[in-house]
Amino acid sequence: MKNHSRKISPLNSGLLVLAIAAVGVGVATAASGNIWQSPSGLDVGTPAAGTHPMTGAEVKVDRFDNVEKAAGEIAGLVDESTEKTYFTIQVTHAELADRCDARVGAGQLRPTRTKFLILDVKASLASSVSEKVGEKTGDLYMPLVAEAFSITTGSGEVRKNLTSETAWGCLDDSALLPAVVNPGQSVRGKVVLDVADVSGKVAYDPEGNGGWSWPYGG
Amino acid sequence: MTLAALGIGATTVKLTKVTTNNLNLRSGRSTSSAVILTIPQNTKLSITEVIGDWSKTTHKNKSGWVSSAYLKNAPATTPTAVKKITTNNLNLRQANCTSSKILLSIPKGTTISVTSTSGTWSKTSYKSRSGWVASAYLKNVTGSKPPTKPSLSYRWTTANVNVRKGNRTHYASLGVVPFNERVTYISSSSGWSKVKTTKGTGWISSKYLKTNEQYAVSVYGTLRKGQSAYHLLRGRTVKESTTKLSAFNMYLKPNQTWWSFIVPTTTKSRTVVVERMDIKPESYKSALASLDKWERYDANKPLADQNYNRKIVTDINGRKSWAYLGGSKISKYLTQNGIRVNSGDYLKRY
Repeated sequence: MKNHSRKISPLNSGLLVLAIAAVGVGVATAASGNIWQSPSGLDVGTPAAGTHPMTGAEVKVDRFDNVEKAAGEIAGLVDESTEKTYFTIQVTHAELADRCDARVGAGQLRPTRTKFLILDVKASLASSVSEKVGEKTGDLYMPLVAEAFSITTGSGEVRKNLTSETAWGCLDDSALLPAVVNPGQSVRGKVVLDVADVSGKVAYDPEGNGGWSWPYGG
Repeated sequence: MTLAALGIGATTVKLTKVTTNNLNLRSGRSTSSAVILTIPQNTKLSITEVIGDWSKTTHKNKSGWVSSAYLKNAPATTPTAVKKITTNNLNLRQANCTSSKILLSIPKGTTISVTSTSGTWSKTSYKSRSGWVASAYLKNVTGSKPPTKPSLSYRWTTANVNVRKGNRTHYASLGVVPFNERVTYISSSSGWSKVKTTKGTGWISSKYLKTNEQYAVSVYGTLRKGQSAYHLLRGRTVKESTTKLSAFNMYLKPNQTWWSFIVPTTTKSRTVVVERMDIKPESYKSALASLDKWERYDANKPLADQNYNRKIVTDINGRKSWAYLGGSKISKYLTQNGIRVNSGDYLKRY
């Protein structure tokens, strides 16, 4: 995806504008079998920062192509031509914890690394995304599992291995973010990561080649 | 999983079943098929066709397929006639009012069959004449409950249990039927069930029979013995045995190798190693609930949207069990960068 051209600029709402929307929108067609892939015909561009369409303000993109967001700021995908929002995601709160309530049983679980990083996340996917990408609604979704997140440490290292058995076992299902968001849905819930670093940036980067990051800890 | 992989054919039937959960009626025989509507728990359904683990039915004028795993046989039909005894000499009238013509008089103490009621009147027949009597002059027949006539065809043993020549423990045993064997139900008497088993036709104490099959659970990752999530099964099994599922791939995420999932494949030669966990009957419900919770599986939510789906699979020996398969959407997402475990064995994943 780094080779594709992408124009990014923020709107007042803090959403992103992509020249061609739908980065990371999963398409599961019969032909694609078990492979999750971005929809054909929908490229996502170079990480060259764009400008705000109205203010001209620069959009900051880190060296891992993650657009930097302030704590609690909404990120997402907007069709530049129509300014229609297709996907939004927001880390509303990030908390470091030494333990969590186990989903099964009455005990508490501890991280296998240093801390649990518990994110409160909101996400939505517009029902009109299927018209945009020309796929059936049932074939489109955005993954929201812990594996879609990564962190960048203070020293600039990227860590993608943020899951663990104990992180998986944290919290009741009703408190957790669903595994996917489908067209027409708005979802919210917690994502539990198992991190070694108590501060840095946490990124939603489902394809591992550029997404959005929010600061945590520190 | 394809039906072909399971080796299961279609059967046209005429069955009455009851839903054991809120159950999705789907357009096809797959959890990826569109959900037409959700049928509430305890709804009686007419099943017209069975293919593999799926049953065809119609609900609210919509036809589709439901998972057979969430159906049980309908209880015996309540007898339409209830026995009553007349407490006086009683007029049998043509209609349900006192002004109606008297057909004949039924003597006090006569046992009659009431086929329906309307207000304070009961419909019955006596000496080949049908009519109505005042319900106030009828009493229940004491000590004679309507005979229950189970309509179930099968039972499953909940332990290794003797099948005997008669319905008492002093009758000779024909042999021991193993735990979880499906037996054909014939009749019941005094807490015993007459059944056809692999040891012959005889009697098994009804307390060792269940009306629903208790499937084992096949596990392949951290739920395996000695692995990090085995604590959910420890002490809850009666038997643990290793077997394989064919036509499945096992995947791990790169750098996240504790997390595994299996997905069906059309390549039958691909196998995954599973441990078949036969759960103690008394622990069965709680064990499955714990496992569902652990895997964040909820049968009442859209299956494609979940991390794991608990589904019936058939091992290479033809035995069915539950297994937690990767949900279709997340599996597609994760397999793009995932590592397929060539051995199919989580313990030999490196």
